[in-house]
Amino acid sequence: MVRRFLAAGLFIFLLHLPVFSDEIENRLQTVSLFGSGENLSFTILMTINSPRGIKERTIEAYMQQDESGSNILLQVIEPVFLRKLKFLQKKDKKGRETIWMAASSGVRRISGQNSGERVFDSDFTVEDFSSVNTDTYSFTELPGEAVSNKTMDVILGDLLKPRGAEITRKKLYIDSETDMLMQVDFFSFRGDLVKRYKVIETQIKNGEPFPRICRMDTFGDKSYTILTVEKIDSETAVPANKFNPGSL
Amino acid sequence: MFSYRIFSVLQKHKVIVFILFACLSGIALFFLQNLSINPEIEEFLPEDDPVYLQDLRLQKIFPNLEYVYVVVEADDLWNREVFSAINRLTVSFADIQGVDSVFSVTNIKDLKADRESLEFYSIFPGELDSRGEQVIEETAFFRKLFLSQDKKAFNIFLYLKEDTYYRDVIPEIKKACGEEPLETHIFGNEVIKFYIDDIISRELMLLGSICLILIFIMQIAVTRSFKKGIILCLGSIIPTLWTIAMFPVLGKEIRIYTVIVPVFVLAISTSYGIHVFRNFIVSEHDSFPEKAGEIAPVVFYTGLTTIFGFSALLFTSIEILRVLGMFIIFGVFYSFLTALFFIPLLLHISSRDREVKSSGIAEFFLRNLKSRNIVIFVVLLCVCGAGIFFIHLDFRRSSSFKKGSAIADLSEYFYARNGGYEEIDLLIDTEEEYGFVAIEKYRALKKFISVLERRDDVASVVSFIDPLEWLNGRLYGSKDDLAPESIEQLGEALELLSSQDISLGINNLIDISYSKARVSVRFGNIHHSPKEADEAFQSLKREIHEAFKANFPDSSLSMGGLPLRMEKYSLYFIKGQVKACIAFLIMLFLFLSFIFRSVKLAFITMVPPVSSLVLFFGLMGWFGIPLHHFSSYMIALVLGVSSDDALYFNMILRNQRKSHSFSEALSLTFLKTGTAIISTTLLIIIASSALLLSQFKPLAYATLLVILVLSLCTVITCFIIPVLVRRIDGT
Repeated sequence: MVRRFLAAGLFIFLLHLPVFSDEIENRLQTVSLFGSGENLSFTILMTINSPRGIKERTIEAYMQQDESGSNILLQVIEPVFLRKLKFLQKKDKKGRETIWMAASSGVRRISGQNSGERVFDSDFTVEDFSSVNTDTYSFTELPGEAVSNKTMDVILGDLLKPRGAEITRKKLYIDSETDMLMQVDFFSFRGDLVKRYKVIETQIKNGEPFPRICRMDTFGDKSYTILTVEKIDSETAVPANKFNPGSL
Repeated sequence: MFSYRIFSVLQKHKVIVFILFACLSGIALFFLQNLSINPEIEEFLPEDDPVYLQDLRLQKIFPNLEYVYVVVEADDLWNREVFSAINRLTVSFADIQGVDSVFSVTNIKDLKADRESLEFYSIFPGELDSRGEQVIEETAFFRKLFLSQDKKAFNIFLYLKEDTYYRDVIPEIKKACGEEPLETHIFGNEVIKFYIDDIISRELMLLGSICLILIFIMQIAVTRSFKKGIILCLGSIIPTLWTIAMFPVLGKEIRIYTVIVPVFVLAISTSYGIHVFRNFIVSEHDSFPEKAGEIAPVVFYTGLTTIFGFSALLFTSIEILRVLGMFIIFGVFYSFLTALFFIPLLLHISSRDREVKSSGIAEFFLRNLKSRNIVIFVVLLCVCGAGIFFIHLDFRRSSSFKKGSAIADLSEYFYARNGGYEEIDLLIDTEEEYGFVAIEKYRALKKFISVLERRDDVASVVSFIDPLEWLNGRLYGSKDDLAPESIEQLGEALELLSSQDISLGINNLIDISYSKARVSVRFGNIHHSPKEADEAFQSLKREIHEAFKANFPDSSLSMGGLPLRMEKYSLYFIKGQVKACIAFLIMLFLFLSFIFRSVKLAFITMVPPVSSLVLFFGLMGWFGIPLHHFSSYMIALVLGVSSDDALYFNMILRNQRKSHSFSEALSLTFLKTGTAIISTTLLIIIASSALLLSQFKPLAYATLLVILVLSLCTVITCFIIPVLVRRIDGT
């Protein structure tokens, strides 16, 4: 009798498991550093602090997200000599991503394995700006934690093919009320905390929460980058041709 | 009368005195367990020195500048075996604690770009293949970076973490190299430091022991008695032991500049011992208090004068000279205590026989006291002193070692492979944000570098131009380097190089705001004489300044690097020592005037120490011995011994003059102290001659100078001082 109950319990649990997992993935599809929305554009001041000094980059970021996938365009406004430097990331609904880099020498697609490279010498990578890639990670929900007096949903993501990767685990802290990604801890294969993204200050635009100041620390390099979101536009539709590699 | 009482008490309680000396020596031996020797050549420039500040600035902008070269040599370089070995070494080196990053042909990334796509890829992603080897061979930038100049070896660069101690990391690198079948060699500033440590530690033990044995043998020869030889030897060892024990007591390490302290104390205590011995055995008195009381004031005043003189070092602005002065004062004080209380007691117990006075030596000196001696002396001093104008510096650390030593051999090897190993770091500051993202500045830098590259003695010039033109070429699909033509191309290439993890060390060549560029100039002059090397170095510095002025009228240039630091150290120390010597001489003069109550006699006593300074630097110039900061430490020894000898002579002469005619007093003085002076000089010469065998050239050269100068000072004390004293005596 007991065995039957146990078997039935296990069956019900297994039936629900993919549902839990799918729920997490669906939720993560919409989670990114800069909140969610169909059309978003930002002006961001990027302050890069390293042991060698400080430098600043003003960048414009355009994001578009719908059922067919997501697009992100990052382009430098200041300093002027980098105005032609742009990064475009396109992700289809299956999570397959393509990154283009535009420079004076032309527009080229960057090989997938380079998406982990730093953007404009900051602590952010192109990958960081996009929504969480649910195809390459397996996610588990952990018990909620209180961070800065707020209850956070905690999701642990493990890289499916960790061999040779610098970062193999991510721990995401999502605000239960606003669904905003408040903190991400990046761990190495050895379990060391390599990087940490944290929202320092938030702002509300048209009733939607957005980060105002956020910080990414790279512990090994003793460097960090602070992003200050100066302008947010969530109402104006970003023209589709903005995300056309040909028009970069 | 007072000293008579003291020595009566001492004689009565001699057992207590011996126990006290034994206990103190035991305590000293106990503290010696904690003695640590750190023979690292320190970088001790004053905090406001421009070169020191420049190095600090460079370290702040470019944190990881210290690197170790590993050269992998093979008959056929373009061979899979060689690449496999380099690959294995690269992996092993990266795992060594203290190594920040490793650059080699097998972990470098290349950029592949066509019309459609762009990819930063590892040339050897895991397995070696001929395609990767071809990329290395075809790319000028990679060849410049990794291939030795004679094209017979590959270089691997190991950048060290900021606080890495070379003694921890170098043995690990050597171990990893030893596991490879191919011939490997390591080099770099940290490697040289490691070998210097090795040589100095070994020589401290070996040559120090030989010195001690020679001192003991000489003391037996001087006393013509094994027993007395042991007494004098104890008189030398005890103060030296106590002084060395003061290092751990005060929490100090024996460093390269304080290595001279034990040598100095050994010399001074030996000198004191011999003077006490000579006076003791030829004394007219029979009782111990009388004998000891006769020599006590001389030892007391001599010791006090030397302490007073060296106290000048305590007031210099240079910290290490203050430390040196403090330990010398300890040494002199302990030598003085031993010579005053320990040696006489032991001598008294060991033998009560008085030596039959032999007037042969005294007669020889008296016969040769001619006025013409002064003329000869003045001529000798002028001729030798003229050598000061020929003094030159040698900034090359590796040239400080004799041929056949590990460092000299390594330097020779690296010179053959890479055309040089001395590096100057130039920091060009445009003084505006993104100053180097300007085509005219970029071209000016290229022009500036081409001027330096045209020089025969410049082996290579490395700047951010090399990786930048490589990347720009790649971005435009070219195999060859390509100079940027617009600020966009320039800025984008810099931004991509900074942000892409392609291990090219760009962060060590341009600062974060692209306003300051570091240019590393490697030059070779191994086969030059020190003088030629110095001239070439000065000419290179001049040319750098001229080329800079012509190309960067609105920017600033600062220079750093080991050769400049070495040059600065030497100049700084010599200046510091000269100032300290002048202060020493002034203090000595004041104290002598006080003791003798005669400015003339004080002046005469000053002749040997002043002459020793002139002779030391003069002979250095004439013999072509380069000025090295290490030499300046030896000046203390020469000054100490020469002033002591002169002081002993004049004090005893003055004492004898009270009860004898001038010629009788002189004869007695020669008998008591003339022999002691000659014995001391002979003993120091023979004992220190072991140091001539040192592989560290500045030590060997300084010892040679000490031997020559002390010999000449002995001649001056014996043949000039009596003539001068006779003149003021009026006889």
